[in-house]
Amino acid sequence: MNEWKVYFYLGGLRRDNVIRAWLKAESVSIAQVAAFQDKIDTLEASGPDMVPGFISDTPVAKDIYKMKIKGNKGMKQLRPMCCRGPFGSREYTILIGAIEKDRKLIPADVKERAQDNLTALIADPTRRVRERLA
Amino acid sequence: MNDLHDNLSNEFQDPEYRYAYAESFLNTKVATQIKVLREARGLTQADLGLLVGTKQSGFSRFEDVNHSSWKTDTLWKIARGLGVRVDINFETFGSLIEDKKHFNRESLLRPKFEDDPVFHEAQVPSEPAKNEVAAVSDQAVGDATILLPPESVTGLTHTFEVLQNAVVPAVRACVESWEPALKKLSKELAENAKQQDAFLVAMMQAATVQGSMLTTGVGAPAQTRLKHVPRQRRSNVITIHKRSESTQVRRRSHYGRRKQRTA
Repeated sequence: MNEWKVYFYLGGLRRDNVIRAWLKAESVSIAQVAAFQDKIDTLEASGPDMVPGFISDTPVAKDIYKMKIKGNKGMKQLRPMCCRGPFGSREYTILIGAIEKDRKLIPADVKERAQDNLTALIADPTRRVRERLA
Repeated sequence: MNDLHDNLSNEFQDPEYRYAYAESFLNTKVATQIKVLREARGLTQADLGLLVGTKQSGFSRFEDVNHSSWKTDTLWKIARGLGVRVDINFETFGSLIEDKKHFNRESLLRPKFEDDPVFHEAQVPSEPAKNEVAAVSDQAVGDATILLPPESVTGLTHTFEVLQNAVVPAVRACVESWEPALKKLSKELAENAKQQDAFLVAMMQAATVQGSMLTTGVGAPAQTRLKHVPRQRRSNVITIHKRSESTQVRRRSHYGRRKQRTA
């Protein structure tokens, strides 16, 4: 029934959900995970026009868009990277997690790594999954 | 959507999670509705920002789902600019699933007061108002609500430019029949001083000052006042005088003529 679908890239030899692993590694608060999940749910149910400001209008690198989940004071500023598709017109795939601090993305090479993950995904379409973050 | 119900039933067991999720959706809903209503009224962020009293760059944050520090007075300012009211409810968590299910552009649209069928379904514009507008242009035009930023009303004096800047966004939100009429007028205004005066008079007639808001209405007194403003000032300045100031202008004018005659 969902018109839009959001997938997560499966990285490494164990094919882990890179975003779930990243949220755990960064010890992201449950409140921010909930806010992230809400935006994904709304995006899937209603499309990107109904979540203005969640995904950047322009790509930050070729085919790579920045997602924004603002944290309150003291919280991390989550900036996962995603792509449209790449196999359907009404889908997004979140490729890698990143944090913004002092206007700089961490890790610094996150755009290149997102592009590498996209290339790997196109070569192997099974490298992604749809699941809940929590 | 049953999937969502099942997933949230489990996730919402954690109070921190469910409150954060609900807050995020509320922020999404408010930001998206502002964007949807603004676009439906044909306004740019800069237009609505002008009415709210912020720049475009400042206003854009209100249309960002990540904006979370809402103030009720800001929401009321935005509501004024959009011609709607603000409502705040306490709801169950269960209703959030239904809200998400019906969260689309159509569900967020609201008519502005002037188009609200509850108040305006059977109303027909009064004959004098129609005639006055027709005097400016042969083409029939509808009613408009013109909102001016509070600072531009201070002193009750507006340059033509300021009024025009405030009028343009309001006109954009009006029915399309305004456009040809205004295009015709803007051409004539540039060429014909008489038409320019007529336009200014019509604008004055269409506007009745109510605090910081100019709304449609019959404005015979405004026309009367404008007569006393010297013609050279009328060409590029709209001055809304209080009665006492109007009298002062008239007196100065008489004094000037008497002085001339004496000379």
